[in-house]
Amino acid sequence: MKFWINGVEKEIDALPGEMLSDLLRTRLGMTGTKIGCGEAECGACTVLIDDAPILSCVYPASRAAGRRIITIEGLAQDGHLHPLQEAFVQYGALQCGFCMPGQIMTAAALLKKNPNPGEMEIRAALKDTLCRCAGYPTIIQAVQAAAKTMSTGQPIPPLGLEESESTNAVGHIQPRPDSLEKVTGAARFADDLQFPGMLVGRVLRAGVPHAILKRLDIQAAIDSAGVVVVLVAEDIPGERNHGLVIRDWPILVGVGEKVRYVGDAVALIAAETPEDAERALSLIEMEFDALPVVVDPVSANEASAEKVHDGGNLLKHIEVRKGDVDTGFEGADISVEGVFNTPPNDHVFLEPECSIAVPSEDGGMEIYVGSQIPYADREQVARSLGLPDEHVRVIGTPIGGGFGGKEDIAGQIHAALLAKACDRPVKILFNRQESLLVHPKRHATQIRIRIGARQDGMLTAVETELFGDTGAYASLGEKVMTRATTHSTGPYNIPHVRADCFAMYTNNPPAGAFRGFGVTQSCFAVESLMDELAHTLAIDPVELRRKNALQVGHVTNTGQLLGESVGLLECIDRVEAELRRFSPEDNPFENKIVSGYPNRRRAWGIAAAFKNTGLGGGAPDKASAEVELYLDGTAQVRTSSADMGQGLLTVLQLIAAEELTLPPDKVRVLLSDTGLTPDGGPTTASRQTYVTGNAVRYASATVIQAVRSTLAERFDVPPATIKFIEGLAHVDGQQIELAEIIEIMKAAGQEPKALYEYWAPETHPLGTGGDMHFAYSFAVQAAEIEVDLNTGEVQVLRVIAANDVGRVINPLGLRGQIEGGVMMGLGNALIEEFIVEGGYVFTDRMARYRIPSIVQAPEIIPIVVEHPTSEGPYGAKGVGEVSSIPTTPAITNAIYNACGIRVRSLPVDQDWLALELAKVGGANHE
Amino acid sequence: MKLPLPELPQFDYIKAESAERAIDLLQEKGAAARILMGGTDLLVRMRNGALAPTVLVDIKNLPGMSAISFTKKDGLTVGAAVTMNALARNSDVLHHYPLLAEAAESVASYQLRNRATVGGNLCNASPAADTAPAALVLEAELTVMGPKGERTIPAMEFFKGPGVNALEAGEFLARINYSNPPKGWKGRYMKIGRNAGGDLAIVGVAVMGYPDKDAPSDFRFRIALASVAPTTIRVHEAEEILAQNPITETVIGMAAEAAQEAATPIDDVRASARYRNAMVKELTRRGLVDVWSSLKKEA
Ligand SMILES: Cc1cc2nc3c(=O)[nH]c(=O)nc-3n(C[C@H](O)[C@H](O)[C@H](O)COP(=O)(O)OP(=O)(O)OC[C@H]3O[C@@H](n4cnc5c(N)ncnc54)[C@H](O)[C@@H]3O)c2cc1C
Ligand code: FES
Ligand code: FES
Repeated sequence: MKFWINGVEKEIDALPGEMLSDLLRTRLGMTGTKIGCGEAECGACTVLIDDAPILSCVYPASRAAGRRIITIEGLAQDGHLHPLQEAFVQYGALQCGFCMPGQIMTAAALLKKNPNPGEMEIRAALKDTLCRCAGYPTIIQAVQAAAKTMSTGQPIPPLGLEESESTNAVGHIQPRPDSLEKVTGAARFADDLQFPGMLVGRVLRAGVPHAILKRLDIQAAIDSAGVVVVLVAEDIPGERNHGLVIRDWPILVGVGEKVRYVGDAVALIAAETPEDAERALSLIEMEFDALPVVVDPVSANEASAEKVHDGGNLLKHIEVRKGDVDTGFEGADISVEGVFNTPPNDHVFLEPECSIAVPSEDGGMEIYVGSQIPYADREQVARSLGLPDEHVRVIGTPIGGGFGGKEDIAGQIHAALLAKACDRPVKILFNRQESLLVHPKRHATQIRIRIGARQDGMLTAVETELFGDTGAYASLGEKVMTRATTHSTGPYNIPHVRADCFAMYTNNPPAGAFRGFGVTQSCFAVESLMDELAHTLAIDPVELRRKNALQVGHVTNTGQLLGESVGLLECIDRVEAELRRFSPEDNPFENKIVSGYPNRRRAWGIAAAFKNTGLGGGAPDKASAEVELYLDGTAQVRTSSADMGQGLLTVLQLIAAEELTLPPDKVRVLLSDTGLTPDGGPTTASRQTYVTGNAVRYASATVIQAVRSTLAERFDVPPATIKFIEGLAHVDGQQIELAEIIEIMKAAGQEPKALYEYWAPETHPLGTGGDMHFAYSFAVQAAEIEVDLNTGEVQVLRVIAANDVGRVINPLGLRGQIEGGVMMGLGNALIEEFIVEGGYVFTDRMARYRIPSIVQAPEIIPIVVEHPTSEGPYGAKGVGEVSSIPTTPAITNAIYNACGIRVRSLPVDQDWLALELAKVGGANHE
Repeated sequence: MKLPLPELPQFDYIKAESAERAIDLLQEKGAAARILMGGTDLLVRMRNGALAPTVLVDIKNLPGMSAISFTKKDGLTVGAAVTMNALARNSDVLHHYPLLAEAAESVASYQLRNRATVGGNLCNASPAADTAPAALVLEAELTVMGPKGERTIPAMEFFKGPGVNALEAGEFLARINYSNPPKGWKGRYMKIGRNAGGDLAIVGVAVMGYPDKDAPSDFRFRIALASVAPTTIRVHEAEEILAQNPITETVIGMAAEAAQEAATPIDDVRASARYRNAMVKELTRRGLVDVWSSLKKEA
């Protein structure tokens, strides 16, 4: 058949069953078009056919005959970006960038039909083109800006964000360095890579939640056409378990061994084509002896419970003690108590996991993967192969979203085992179903909390008890639940605290890191109960929080004296001021009837949160970075830290530019290649800006220092008289360019580069007192919502989000983090629930696990508060997580204010809410 | 339990060059053959492993399949392959059948509406099909072609069960005729999904009303429901109440309750039966109030 792609005629016949996305990506190598789900749910695969947007994952390739297709690769004309691409770059509408081809193509189709769309029309058009990084408000602005440019011919109007005046690079608007690749479809994510002779790897999953594998017959699969190798547990040359903290997770479950969740791997296949692999997979026979299934953390703790692991079901009992709670409650005039439940959640990063293992000539292995912790991948892969670490090189590919879900091993080890066995490259790509089934989730929790207070609102004691479901394997469960526990009493100064947490193994999918790291759950509980307390005492909810807010000089419940950088009070004040602006006359927390809709009520709700920056708890927290100057006048920064969309690339670029006095565009950042970049440590705990940022800052400063002393010697001037301005050294009245500087250094036998290993301030383990964390970020959010009393529908209208980030380094990235954080918190509050029944996953596709879309995006009003840290780069601390944490309780508190129903279990189901409203007579059904 | 779902199974794609050819293929291959329209339902089901036909017969290019025509005499005729977006922005539809445009506009996403067809939506016979209630209240007639030539099936007789329609072996749907509705009619399609996200309908309610001097109340209404029974349904009991009694808020409430009684929803992940029941009443009430107030305005 004949068709036109981006104006070029093609003659190629469709294969039976082939979808247009396969034809484009696999056979034409046009990998700009992305696959996020393969089930018509996400919009990532959108292309234009005769100018109309279609989902190429469900468009039979054969239908393309005679038609004109435009893909993201063809949008830019004659070397000029399409105004949409330009606006998305300039406004920072992209974070991880994986959804961008779909967003831009859908928007392009809209603008072709409607050159001047209003906000509602943009929302309607982009309704199911999902962005998990969720900079939805910015996307709307960018589309409008592009529309304007297209109709007026004027350049894209500037964004008008505030920029720092005291610095040259830090705090300035700088589009992500990889923006261009990501809006043109040129960026190569792992699944976009091809290697000669590459095989397709697939994993056979147990499909039962708890059982002994009795029999495994792989013969028919071995004999099946196109199969190169089938591997089982006995074939693993090295260590047979993996795990980030405890190595309790079998790489493959062997005969006679135990399956602990449905996603456990039993056998691996490498085959020539996906169809060959698929067929062989279905030929493997498994037999199991079923075991009783442990379904929740509370029953897991009962003496009679079936044991998931030999050591029992308790992963860890975590205790926090401060003062004496009994005394505290005795001194209280009043106490309130509640039990709160949160479900597991999935990250639904738009890019499903993909690992490619390529055997290297020296007998080692290269792994291409978008991973949050490349060095941990390297160690775990090397162990399983029985190789020294240095023989494995992990090469980071762009990460299409992570949010904590790409910290554990997914396909890295399996791909490496297969590649080693066949001596050929092997790719393991999860489809959306496998992704949902396999990777660790957010911990489901049950949280009981009791707060004692005096009549004036001062807290006297808080007691909490948490059960966390860490699922089948430990992953980061202990650390997550520790964070949940230490933060379970909120960002408040409380004299007496007792908190206990039981992190339990069950037969559910494992739970691990997820943006918020346990604090999302405990913040929902404590902030809901704080709100109840405010109502019980008839104290304004803002006032109650202000009275008890942590301040410099207070001691946290883990015994840490806060010495600096506690911007909570300012966050509270700023949010309150903004609330007054929206609600000058009346109490924003009292409900109002929506005019024209007698059944709808509107109200605001508020919540506060804090979140540690860095690993803490005594874990050594360090990062290494290397900075090198080049003859072409540029510098390169190298470190193995991940940018999963959160903006680290830009942060490091700006920091290096600041220190080296170079324009940011002259700084290139290379991340995540264990062969080329030093270890930046895990991308978790909102630590990268602080820890790796400092490593880059000091490496840059070291380079400059070396330059300074070389020049001082060469020109015989005191080092202090040498000035650096915009990449030029000013020595004794003359200006010396970078290239010349490098030559001078080389002549003097010096390399124009420096490696710096930065150690974050020491922290102490829980229970030992002292500093458990080197910094905390604070956030306060207010949400305005509307409830329909008859249908139980909730719409979030506005969110005011104040964040104390220490110091803003990357304003565009910060805005993205806040918008995305709020949207994730909104999903957590109203939409998302990963449903597991008896150990079996129900939400195994995106049609069942729903995430927020642009139609749910409220107006987001970001407020930046800067209480600098003394150690962090320019005063910065983390923001990636705290921006998401208070959203959920702000919304649920607003629901209470609007209609009097207290939410104790997430997500808020409209069905449940309508029933509760009916009970109190708010609605007219029985 | 369902394991990670397979790649899309292989199939042969045949573009039928004539109606006869399509009918032959359907007869010859039996259950192994399926009509492919937009494929937004079919291909997703195939990918989920729920269906595995080996031959897909594309009939979109047959004459008249993508045509929309309107005459005062015959009303609106819509080819089975007309897409939701084409329907929703057609000026005759917008002008004479806004209810239909509203229903089409409520389906899925922008991208899917460029593919999803009215014929596919009806043949799918999903209880949640958004354009089916409109077909019921507009008393559409479906023209099908088959081994015995053409025949017409009233929409009221088309939906037989979840996923089951009245087509016989070898037949396909060619076009839908929405006859000219009574003068002065008004209509609304009310849909509730999850969290205002515009999902698949938890409940959908189509309401139309028109002046009728022969009815004791001077008006007649028609009401049809989606997602609350094994098929989309008309609720005659409610319609009767509105024909027999002068329209007041109380009577509207009674009709809404009658609609609720007629619904036999089930629990599923999207909503409980109880919630669906309550929403039938709520949306029917809202739809009636809306239609009634526009009727009054005109009277
Ligand atoms: C993400 C997603 C969201 C959706 N949201 C909605 C929604 O909000 N509302 C809604 O109503 N639906 C929704 N659907 C379902 C579906 O998209 C619609 O029902 C659509 O109108 C089907 O039309 P199609 O042309 O794509 O049909 P196809 O998928 O091509 O066909 C559907 C079925 O009907 C049969 N068929 C089609 N045409 C004929 C014919 N002429 N004669 C005989 N048999 C025929 C096919 O063999 C097939 O079994 C959604 C689907 C997806 C994937
Ligand atoms: S990949 Fe096509 S819609 Fe998600
Ligand atoms: S930028 Fe949209 S999914 Fe990451």
